[in-house]
This record gives sequence, structure tokens and C-alpha cells, in this order.
Amino acid sequence: MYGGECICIKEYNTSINIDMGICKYILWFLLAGFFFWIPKAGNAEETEDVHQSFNTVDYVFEHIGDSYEWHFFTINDFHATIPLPVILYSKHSGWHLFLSNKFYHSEKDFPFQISIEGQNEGKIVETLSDGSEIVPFDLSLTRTIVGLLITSLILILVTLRTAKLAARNAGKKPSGLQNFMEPVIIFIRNDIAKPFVGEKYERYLPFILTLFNFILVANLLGLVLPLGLNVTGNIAVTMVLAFFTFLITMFSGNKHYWKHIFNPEGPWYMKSPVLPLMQFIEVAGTLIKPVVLMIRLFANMLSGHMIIAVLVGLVFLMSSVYGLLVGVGTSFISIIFSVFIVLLDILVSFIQAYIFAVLSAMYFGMATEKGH
Amino acid sequence: MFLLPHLGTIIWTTIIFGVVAFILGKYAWKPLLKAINERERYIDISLKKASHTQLLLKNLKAEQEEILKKARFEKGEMLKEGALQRDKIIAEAKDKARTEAERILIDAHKKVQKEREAALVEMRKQITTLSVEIATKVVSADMEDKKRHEEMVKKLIDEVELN
Repeated sequence: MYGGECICIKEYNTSINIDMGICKYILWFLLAGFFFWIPKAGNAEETEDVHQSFNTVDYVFEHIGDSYEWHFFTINDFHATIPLPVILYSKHSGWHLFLSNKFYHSEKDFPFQISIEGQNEGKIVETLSDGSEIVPFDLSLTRTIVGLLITSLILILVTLRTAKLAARNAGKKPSGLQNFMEPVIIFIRNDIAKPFVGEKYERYLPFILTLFNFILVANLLGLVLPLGLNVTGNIAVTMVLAFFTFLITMFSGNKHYWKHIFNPEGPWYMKSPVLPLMQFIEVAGTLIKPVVLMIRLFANMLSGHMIIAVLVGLVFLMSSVYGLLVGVGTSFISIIFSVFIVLLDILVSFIQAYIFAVLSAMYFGMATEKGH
Repeated sequence: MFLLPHLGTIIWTTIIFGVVAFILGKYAWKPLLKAINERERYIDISLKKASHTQLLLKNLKAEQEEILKKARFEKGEMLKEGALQRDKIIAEAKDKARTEAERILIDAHKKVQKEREAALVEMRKQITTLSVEIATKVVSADMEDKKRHEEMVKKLIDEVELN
């Protein structure tokens, strides 16, 4: 509510060619909307109606979740959608490869479809000839995978081009992309790898560089709203990233690291009663660390996307419930809040990439630390 | 629904991230890090070299100053010596000239003396001749008046002396 006033003040102060009349008009709309119409909407039957006309929950979840097609926008009956390849392996009928638009307009006895309800909701199910449903092994190139591929493509193009430039400019001053990439590399080397990994940083530097840049590009790609991609807000993606960190930590753990986990230093009469507990905690710790990495990145990016989706969904909800004018009024708040959230998420993108890289570097550092 | 990772996504992500990490590690980070490290080393070496060169230059300048100083000093010395030499030469020349002049003067004196003596001898000779002539004249003239004779002799001698 107070947001409305804030916006008006802000618009007035910055004088974005919106005169006080319009500002007051919008404010009046908002006041009216919040004080008079909300109690009405609170009515149970009305709410049912509302959800039939516009389902905010579905809208939000569709935008932050994964999907078999790449949907941009819908105008009336026109869906701006790129169908993505679906790859399936069914024990019953073997490998299948087709485009996802087959789900929506296909021949009658097409066995595969996206389950709408039940325990397999959102998954692809195969209807067998006897009428029973099975879930085939799904290797589809979903929207998230497309996001990953775009991220990879950007990263590979930019870095390889930079490497080429570096080779050409050997012994000369850096130029073009080099000036953009080299500070990033030097920052990661000097402020992440060197202090957190320690003396063996050079071995882990390429991985940390890839990790940081990959997460950063994926985060920022997710903020290009019209693309509707959500890469690092997918738990499978962050899980794999964290798993790589975990694997490298495990394989680079030295004698001191494992000794610290299974037999920490200390007098035997002090530690023997609690040794099993300590071992359990330490082992759990090594497993929890990557899990925390996974959840932190996932939750941060997901929440940003969710807020933006909710703010945008609010506009549609308002216009579907209270009419077009209220929707327009709401869109003013929504847009300004969304801009704020996007700006915040740009910051969060950098911070999360940094934190992921720093914590990974720290775990490598712990694994390779020499005994004291 | 969001908290359950999808197996297909996991597999794809593993493949994609693995490939990206491999490609970037091998073809991007390695040459880039090499280039950065090399440049840093080059800058390091260059800085050291520059400071070394500066030191060298400083020494060189000092040396140059020293040489200039020495040269200036030598020039002064040379000028001084030259002046001394000159003075000496002039003094010697003056000395020589003076002695020469003296010698010439003495020679001249001697010559004059000699010529005077010669003249005197000549004069004496002529006086004698004249005396004889006069005596001859006197004798040949009338030796009548002694007094007149004497006057005449006297007068002749006066004439001679005037000559």
C-alpha cells in the first residue's frame, strides 16, 4: 500500500513527465482497490471464480519451473513458443525423440503425454495398451537445459575469443575482450583462489574460474526476463555444480584432512568417549557442505524469479478480478517493484557466484591443508 | 516439486558442465592464465630493469660530472701554464733584446771610438803635413821678421785648427 505513495513521490521528485493529476488518479485507484475490493474478494465463492479466470499459483510455478517447451508470451490464442526436443527411453517401447509440440496437437493414439494430476504431475507418462501408465526415463532437452546450453555457448565463445586475443597480443598491451575478462580472472585468482585455497591454488584455479563464470552467466541469463529462463534456480543444476565441488574436495583430500575427520588430534582419554559422535558429525559435515552450496544458490535465484513472477502475475490477477483499469494501476507498482527486484537480483547474481566460488575454494583449501 | 531434482536435468547438467569445464580449462583458462602470468613476470622484470637502469644512469651522470670537472680543471691548468710560458717567453725575448741592444750599443761605441782614433791619427797626419807645408812656406818665405813669422805661424795654426 505505502508502495503506491512511494512511487508517486518518487515520480514527482524525479519529474518523469507524469503530472500530479495522473499520480493522484493512480493513488486513488490503489486506495480504492485495497480498501474496498479486497474484502469482497475475500469471499470464498468469489475466490473460486477468480482462480478459474486466472490461476496465479500455476502462472508463477510455470514461470519458475522447468518445461518441455520454451514459452515466451501469449496473446489471446497466439502462443509464442519454441517446441523443444523430447528424448525418452521406455522399457516398453525403447528410445523416442520428438518435439514437444506433439503433446498438444498429435494423433489420437500417441502414447506419451504430460501428466496433469496425480503423483506424476508434470512428468511425461506413457499410456500402455492395457491402459496403465508408466513413467519413461526422461532425457528431454527442457527449458533449463536450453538455458544451460546458452550459458555454455556464451561462456565458450567469450573465453575462447579472449584466449585467442591473448595469444595474438602476447607481449603487447591487452585489447578488447581481454580488458573485460582479465580483471575477472585476476580477481578470482587473487581474491578467491589464492587466499582460500592456499599454496596449491593453481591446480584448482581453472575449475573455480569455470564455476564462477558459469554461475554468474547463468544467473544473469535468468534475469533477461523475456527469455523466461531459470537455470540456477533449478535444484538439479545447483546439485550438479555442488557435486563437482564435493567430488574434487573428496579426491584432493590429503592425509591430514582424513585424519582430521576420522581421528582428530587430542589425548585419547578425552576423545575416546565421543569419537564416534565426532566422526559422525565430521562425515555429515563433508556431506552437508555441498548440500548447503546447492540449496543456497538454488533458493536465492528461485526466490528472485518467484518474486518477479508474482509481481507480474499480480497484474493479470488484478485485471482479471477487478477489471482492466485496476490491472493497469497495479502494473505501475509491479513494474517499479520488478525493476527494483531485478536490480537486486543482479547484485545477488554476483554475490551468489562469488559465494559459491569462495566456499568451493575454501573446501579445496581445507582438503589440501597441511598438518600443523 | 521444486525440491526434487529431475534425473534427466542432472545428467544433462553433468554432461554440459563437464564439457564446458574441460573446454574452458584446456583452451581458455590455461592460455589466459599463462598470458597473465607471463605479463606479470614481464612487468616485474621490466620494473626491476628500469630501476637498475636508473641507478646505472645516476652513476653514469655522476661519472660524467666527474669527467667534466676534471676536464675543466685541466683546462684551467693548461691555460695557466700557457700564460706562464708566454710570460716566460716574453721575458726571455726582452732579455735577449736588451742584451742585443747593449751589445749593438757597445759595438757602436767601439766603432765610434775606433773611427775617432782613426780620425785623430788622420788629423795628426794632416797636421804634420800641413805643419810641414806651412813650415815649408814659412821657410821659403822671407825669413826676415821673426815677429811676423811667429804671427804668421800662429795665424796658420789657427787656420789649421779651424779646419
